[in-house]
Amino acid sequence: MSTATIDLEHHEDHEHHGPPKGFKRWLFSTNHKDIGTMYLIFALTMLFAGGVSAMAIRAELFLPGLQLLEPDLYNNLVTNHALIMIFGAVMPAAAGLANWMIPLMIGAPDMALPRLNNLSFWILPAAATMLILSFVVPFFPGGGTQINTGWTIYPPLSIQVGMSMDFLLFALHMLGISSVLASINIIVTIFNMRAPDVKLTQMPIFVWTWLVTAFLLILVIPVLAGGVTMLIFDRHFGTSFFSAGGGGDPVLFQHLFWFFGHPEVYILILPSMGVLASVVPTFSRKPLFGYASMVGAMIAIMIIGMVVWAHHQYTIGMSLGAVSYFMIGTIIISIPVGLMVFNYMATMWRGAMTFETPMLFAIGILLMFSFGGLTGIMLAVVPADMQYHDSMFVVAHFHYVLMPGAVFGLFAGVFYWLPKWTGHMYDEKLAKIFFWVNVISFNVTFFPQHFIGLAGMPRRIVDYHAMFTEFNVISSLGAIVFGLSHLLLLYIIIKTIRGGKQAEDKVWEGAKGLEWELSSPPPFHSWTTPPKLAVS
Amino acid sequence: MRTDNSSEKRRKNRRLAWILAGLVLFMLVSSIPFWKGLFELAVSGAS
Repeated sequence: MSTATIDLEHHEDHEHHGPPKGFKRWLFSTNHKDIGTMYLIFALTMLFAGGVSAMAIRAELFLPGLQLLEPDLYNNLVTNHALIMIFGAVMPAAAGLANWMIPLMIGAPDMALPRLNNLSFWILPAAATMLILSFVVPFFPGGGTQINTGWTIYPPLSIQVGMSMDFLLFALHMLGISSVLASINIIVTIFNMRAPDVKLTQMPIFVWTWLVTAFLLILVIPVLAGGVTMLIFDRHFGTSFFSAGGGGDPVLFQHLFWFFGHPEVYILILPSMGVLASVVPTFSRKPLFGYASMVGAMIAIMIIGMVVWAHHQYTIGMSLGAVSYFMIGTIIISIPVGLMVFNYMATMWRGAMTFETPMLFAIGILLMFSFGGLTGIMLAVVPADMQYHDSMFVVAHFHYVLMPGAVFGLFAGVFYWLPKWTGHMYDEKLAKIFFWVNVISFNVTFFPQHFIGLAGMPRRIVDYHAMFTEFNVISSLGAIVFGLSHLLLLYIIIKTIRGGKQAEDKVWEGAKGLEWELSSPPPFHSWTTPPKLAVS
Repeated sequence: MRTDNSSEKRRKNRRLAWILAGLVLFMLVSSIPFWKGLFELAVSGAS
């Protein structure tokens, strides 16, 4: 690894032109920092939209019987919550971090294809509008039935749903196009725009995680696009790809969907794991343990993650050979994932650790994500999964994987780099309060769901047996606190943007990397001359 | 040395972007069931 000893005299001569003024700065922006900021604001907005639907779901499940929501509306909310969180909140937030940090970390002046970058972002609000319309349209006369399929949009139900499904399908296409364009841009940036001294093997792990993630995206999003296109044809052009009545096969869609859907989990998690590779060494004051093995683990996750999709479909009736293959493959993934977790633990080992908010989130992630991984191994085992399938246990499992594995990683990244982005230190005391309230309420929400799932409570059902009441009450109370705690995050971010203690260029004592050699906030045009690295 | 995108670098960037776009297209059209289904549709339509 190299440490950056950088000649900074190049900045001044490019300070003569700053950002354009007014809305044009944002609408026509080709600046990676501005576009990164827009991604992050968009993601935060969608986080609240998805959060409101989650709180409505938990409010309904507070007690058995129908409380607030009609069953169709409940199912609609379940569908929208998932899609908004995955495509609207987590993926754009990770793309925001990528836009902000990759050029800074590799010494590039900007993304390789800045106009494409602008397009990638501005497709998102249009897609989100379509997605939200899919939720709203059924409330209008002639709007048809509500979307009651869940985010998996399995046929034949998705063929029968009204016109709201068309909004959803086109939203998925647009979101896919945005992701693919952004991924192409990221790959080209990493391969072609690195400063001459920054070799592939010297790149920060965060950049590596995004390289792997971008390749995953361009390999699996087109397959989802194929499935969605066929679904549109089945709905409107008389084909029968997935309609058994016309000789088609609904299970075919499940294969296409999960060929995308399972790697999507790694698409959501890997960038956050990359954030940890910056955070953990900084606050442990030690170099990252096992750089090469980390890169190898990521590539292994990418390859194996693409060939185990059918563990989501054990109950469809596959051959013994097929389920055995998918079970073994799924369990094998725990090896590279576990290796990454152990590398972070080894990095902390005997380090001079301090516990600022990003580090608290990092430790929380390692504990809770590992727990989610353990329940994942339970679900990978075919006979056990036959019992757990479509129960609340699955809901608990994937929230333990995705909240710590993806969202908490993004929070860690935001707190880690917010002083660099804004030039102001955030309020550490408030941030720690946010961490503890957020993490405790998360566990209060989702831990009890393991028990009610194991006891037989199905998911995606608006009502439940009275025997599950106590744990559901606890879960719903936790969810309300968990949801509201994000208002504190919003307050901390706004407060930091508006002012606060001036951040130093190298915000954290133990931080290493090119991004810390720039001022806080960085100049509008950064790395106009490539940095030179001094090998330590 | 400056890193302002020279025309040579822009050309290299565009070339790699198009190669990746080709990979995306390949993944889309090689979703074999798509073509299988389309073929079956055509056959059943003809009959």
